Amino acid sequence: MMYDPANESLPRADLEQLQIERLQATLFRTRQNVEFYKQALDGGKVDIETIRTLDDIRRLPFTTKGDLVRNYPYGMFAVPLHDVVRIHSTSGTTGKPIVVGYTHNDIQIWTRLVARVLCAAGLDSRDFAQIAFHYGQTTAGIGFHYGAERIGASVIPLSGERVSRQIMVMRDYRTTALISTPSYAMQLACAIGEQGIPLSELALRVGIFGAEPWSEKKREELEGRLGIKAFDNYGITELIGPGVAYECERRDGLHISEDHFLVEVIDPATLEPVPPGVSGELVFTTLTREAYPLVRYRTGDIASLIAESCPCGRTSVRMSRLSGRTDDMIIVEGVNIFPSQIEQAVLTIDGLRPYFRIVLDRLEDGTETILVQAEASSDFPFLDRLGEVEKLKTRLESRLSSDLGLPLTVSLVEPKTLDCPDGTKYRCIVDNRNK
Amino acid sequence: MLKVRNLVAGYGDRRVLKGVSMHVGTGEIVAIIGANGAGKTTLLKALTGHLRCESGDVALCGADMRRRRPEETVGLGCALVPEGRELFPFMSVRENLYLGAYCRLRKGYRSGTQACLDAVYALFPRLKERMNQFAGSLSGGEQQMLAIGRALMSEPSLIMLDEPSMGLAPLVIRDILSNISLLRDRGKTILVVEQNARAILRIADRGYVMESGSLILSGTSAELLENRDVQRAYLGKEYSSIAE
Repeated sequence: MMYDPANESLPRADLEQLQIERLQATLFRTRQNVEFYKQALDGGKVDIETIRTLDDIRRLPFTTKGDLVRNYPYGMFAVPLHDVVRIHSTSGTTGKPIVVGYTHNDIQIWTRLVARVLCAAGLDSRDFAQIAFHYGQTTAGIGFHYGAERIGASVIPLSGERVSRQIMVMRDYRTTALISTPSYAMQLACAIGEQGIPLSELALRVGIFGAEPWSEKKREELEGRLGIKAFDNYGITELIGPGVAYECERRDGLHISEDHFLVEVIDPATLEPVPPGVSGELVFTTLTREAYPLVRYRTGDIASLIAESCPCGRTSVRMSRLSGRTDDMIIVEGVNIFPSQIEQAVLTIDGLRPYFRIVLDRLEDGTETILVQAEASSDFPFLDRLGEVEKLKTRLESRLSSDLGLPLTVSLVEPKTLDCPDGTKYRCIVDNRNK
Repeated sequence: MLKVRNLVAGYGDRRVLKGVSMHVGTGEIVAIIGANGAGKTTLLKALTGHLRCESGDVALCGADMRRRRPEETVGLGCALVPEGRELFPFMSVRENLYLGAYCRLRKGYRSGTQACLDAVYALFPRLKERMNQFAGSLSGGEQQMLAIGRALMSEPSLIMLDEPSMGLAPLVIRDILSNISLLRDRGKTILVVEQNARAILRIADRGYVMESGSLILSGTSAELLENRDVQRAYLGKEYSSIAE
């Protein structure tokens, strides 16, 4: 089912007209209102009046995550602050967060975009939607909340309530749709299994999962354990939040809401566009954002485009499910972690060599764990003084836990066990989570 | 119905339209709002062949509209209600209306013209009452009705109106606007240029905001009315009321 059939199944020629109109208007407004774009466009000597076709966009400069961070907090806003009715931000694990603003119209459009996601997954006003995303600075919880209300579903905002309560509500309130991260859904599924609750006692039928990459294998497992049909969706805070792309009932790629976001896929090395079917970095230009428009924003997410039209009737191009990230960011329990953060800690603590390994694992109940193996330096009295070793380990553990915002374990290993033979590149992440 | 891509036009060396892209769907009322001198009238002139387009594409129902003379655009189903009405003041109401069917008269459709005239009289009974009066003796609102009626005489599918509210009292404006809605209900597609943003957005489906020859914003009427830039610039909301 489509929430907005007129726009979701707009003939391609009309869609293109809409995109070019909105692109041109966005470019005029960004150059006029955002100092960063004024410099980027005028400095790059791109006359935006010469942007006449969608392909012309390739002549425009990219916007990177670094640009957004450098303009912390409000530098990228395209409207006066008193026009902003909502402020969200990214988790900011690499330092300062990215601060994203919304006008009243932005919120309205966002709500409709999320409604598309939910309708495509078959939700309607008869559904009870349990939202187990955190409600806060990140966009997922509140974004889904608004969208679910818009389609008339009975929304149960549970945010980060503990697992036992989530399950109680799910069973007693007759939840039909679970909206969460796939890893949290797995945690719930495991707990349901442990408590021996038969699926027949649950009314659950749909899962809408996102905010982290998840495999088809995980989808199968979640569907089996929870007795649901699971749907993927894509959206990042910088662009708007959830609602950028979503699976329809065929679940064969994610439909991009192209009337609001212009998509490109580029080779992250050459920055040249890649043809449909070839994986590359997703680059988006917002077409309707008022407070926070972005031109050619490099998301760092890796996917490919599917050019063939979908039998569901939507005319939008589809993207494959995410296959990774351009940088080495890893997501553990929904938290973004960069190896560089760990490196930073390892480098600043005395008695350690600059080598480390991150081992990711998944416990039986679905909880993801991080183990950081660090090398003690050779002049460190390694085996002689166990107390010292323990102290060093604790120091690194507490430093990392507070930096990353996640509990983790550290183990110290003998010198020269982690560095690789050729000394250039070593594999510092071992991900055992999907094994 | 109407599709415009990267339209560039101007007067002599003076470029007024700097790459305008917009569209009007069948049965829609689309408003273009903007301040004086933004290029709104120039856009209508370029679309109706009164002004040559330097570059860009204009298509009406798929037919290329560039390099058409004004009378050809009328033949293609596109009628203009010009700014300030531009009636012939010393001709009667009926004669003014007949002139709107000039293209058709030459083709020898006299009987069709009568039916069309009756339809206009049915829409604006006031014009029928005054059909023998000089156009110049009508009130402002009646003149605007006459200008719209004259445009209807060519049986256009797309009607373009340039500042229909200009110089009219608020009550009369309301009347004219409800007539424009009525035209849409009778199957016409409407593109209207207005400075009176609040009034026109009340009846339009969508709108564009024009600023120095570029369309800088587009959206549904509700979205534009909600946009703070539009409120400040065109809806007369004071800066002071939105404290910095």
